[in-house]
Amino acid sequence: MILRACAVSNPFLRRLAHGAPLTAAEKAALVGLTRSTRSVGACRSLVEAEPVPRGLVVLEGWACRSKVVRDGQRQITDLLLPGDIHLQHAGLSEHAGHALDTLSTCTIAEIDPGQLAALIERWPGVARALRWSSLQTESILREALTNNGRRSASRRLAHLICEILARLQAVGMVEDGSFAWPLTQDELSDVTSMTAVHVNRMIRDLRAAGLIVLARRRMTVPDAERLAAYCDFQPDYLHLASG
Amino acid sequence: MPHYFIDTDDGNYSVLDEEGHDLPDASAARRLALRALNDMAADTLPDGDRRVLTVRVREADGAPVYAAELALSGEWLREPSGCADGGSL
Repeated sequence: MILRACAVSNPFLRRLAHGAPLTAAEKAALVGLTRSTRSVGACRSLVEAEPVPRGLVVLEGWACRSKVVRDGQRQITDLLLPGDIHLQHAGLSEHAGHALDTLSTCTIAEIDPGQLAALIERWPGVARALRWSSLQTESILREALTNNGRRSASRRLAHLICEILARLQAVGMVEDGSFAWPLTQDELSDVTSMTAVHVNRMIRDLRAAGLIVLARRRMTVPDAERLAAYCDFQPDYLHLASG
Repeated sequence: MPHYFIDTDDGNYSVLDEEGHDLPDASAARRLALRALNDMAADTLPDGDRRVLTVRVREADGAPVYAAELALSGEWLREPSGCADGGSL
């Protein structure tokens, strides 16, 4: 499927606009950067065997970065949602040290690193927005460490749902508190560092409390403030511009 | 891959697994059940001194094939000093 990347619907532009005000020329340059897209099925690897510098942007669907430990258990370290960018720098990390896989069918834009470097050089807004993007990714990882390390299971799950809701809202992909939820219980267990059995218990818990409705791969949060209050979710760490 | 159901009960909240899990064999189902006990313990154990957590593995036909329980039994050995809640929890 070819996605017509126009300024209104391109989630990459929508997301970066939270990081810096972008001029019309900068927006056009970013749209040009993400022009070459491909559709990738669910549960496919996005990492190439050869360690070449490359970048990609998720335009549709969900992907994730993960690591596998010795006994075969997987930890999903972070989710890539529409608008997120993945950069693999040459030299800095010849071996990425982690896997990069799709979780649902995705539309992926391949980015030419040379072209990206040229844009950063030429357009200060693009440079600022991409620095912001790295800052947000780092901040999300820091929150995930805290979430998985210190929050009780049901609050941990609630916090993850609040974060995803806020991130999808920031790119205009939430409708009346409802959004596509492609994660299986096994994948959710790999994100939240608990067994799929316990994930199942906690989802029932949140459902019974009326905090979430999860049906047919769609998550609905009837009262976002109530869910946020339940797990002390403070969206500041996402550094999103309000409104 | 065979399908297993893993039922859980933490003493307050009992869940009959209706969806189940695809796992390589019964011993993988046992390991998952025991790790689930561990998750339940991490969530519930500071709450009170008596607690029994149980898990049960059922095979695809619904018949139980494995069960385990983890029991906490704690008690104060004397009246504690300097304990804000009087040692009740």
